[in-house]
Amino acid sequence: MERRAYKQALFAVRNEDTALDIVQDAMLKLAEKYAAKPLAQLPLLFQRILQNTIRDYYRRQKVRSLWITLFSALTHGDDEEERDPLETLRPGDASKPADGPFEQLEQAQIVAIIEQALESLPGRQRQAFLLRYWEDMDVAETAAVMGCSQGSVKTHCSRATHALAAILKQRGVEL
Amino acid sequence: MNEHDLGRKIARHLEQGANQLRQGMLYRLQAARNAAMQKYHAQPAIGLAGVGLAAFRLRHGQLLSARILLPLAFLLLSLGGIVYWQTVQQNNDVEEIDTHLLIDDLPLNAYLDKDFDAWLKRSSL
Repeated sequence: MERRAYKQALFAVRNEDTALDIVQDAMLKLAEKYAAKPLAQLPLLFQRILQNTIRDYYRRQKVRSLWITLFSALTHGDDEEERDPLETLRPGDASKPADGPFEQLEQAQIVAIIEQALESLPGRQRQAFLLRYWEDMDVAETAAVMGCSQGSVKTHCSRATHALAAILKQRGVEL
Repeated sequence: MNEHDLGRKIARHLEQGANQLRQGMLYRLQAARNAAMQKYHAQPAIGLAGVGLAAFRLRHGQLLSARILLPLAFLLLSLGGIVYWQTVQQNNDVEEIDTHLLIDDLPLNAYLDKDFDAWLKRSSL
């Protein structure tokens, strides 16, 4: 469970440490606040908490970006040279094994392409796709986690799948 | 291939990707899970504490209601006393006028005349 949650958070925030923090927070919140709930409800609750935690991270980032922009404007952008552009890059392919047989390498490459394609999707589409197909939730459950209508879930999933299919075709990947 | 099948195939690849996380990250995730599980198992004790808290809330609620009801009862009694005192005072005034009417030589119309009342005040000064 935590592996998929971590990957979901990583697709969204593109930073390993932040993704880990998000998963950790979500698991702690689940344990602290919903321990009395029936076990069958916990996966759905966890997904909802996870998505909310990711959303909270986005909100905080937005506020932080605003302050950074304001501060940069006041300091005439002198500190821009000191900022390392590598900090804004994605963590890369650290999760892939470095060596292995040809099939493993090919598999790792396909996974990397899929993950990159997922990262390029709009957040809501990615969220709907992952909940629906990876977490194996039905449309109603996905809608409950995302806080939207079932029709929206279907639309997001359809768009996400078509976008992924187009990217994979473009990259020459056949599943 | 339809949308659903493609979604499932992609999900299978994603699952393989999740299983290829490096050992350090798996260890950190496991540690996070363990920390959460410790909190989860600690919940029954908190639940029992919650029962005590509920009892305290009940007693606290009773205290709170007594704290509100007592001043309210005092206020109502005071209001009742004021109304009673005003009624008694009014009756006494009426009785006093009746007495004056009975013992005085003045006719009743003299008391109803506003000018007479004003004259009475001026003359008493």
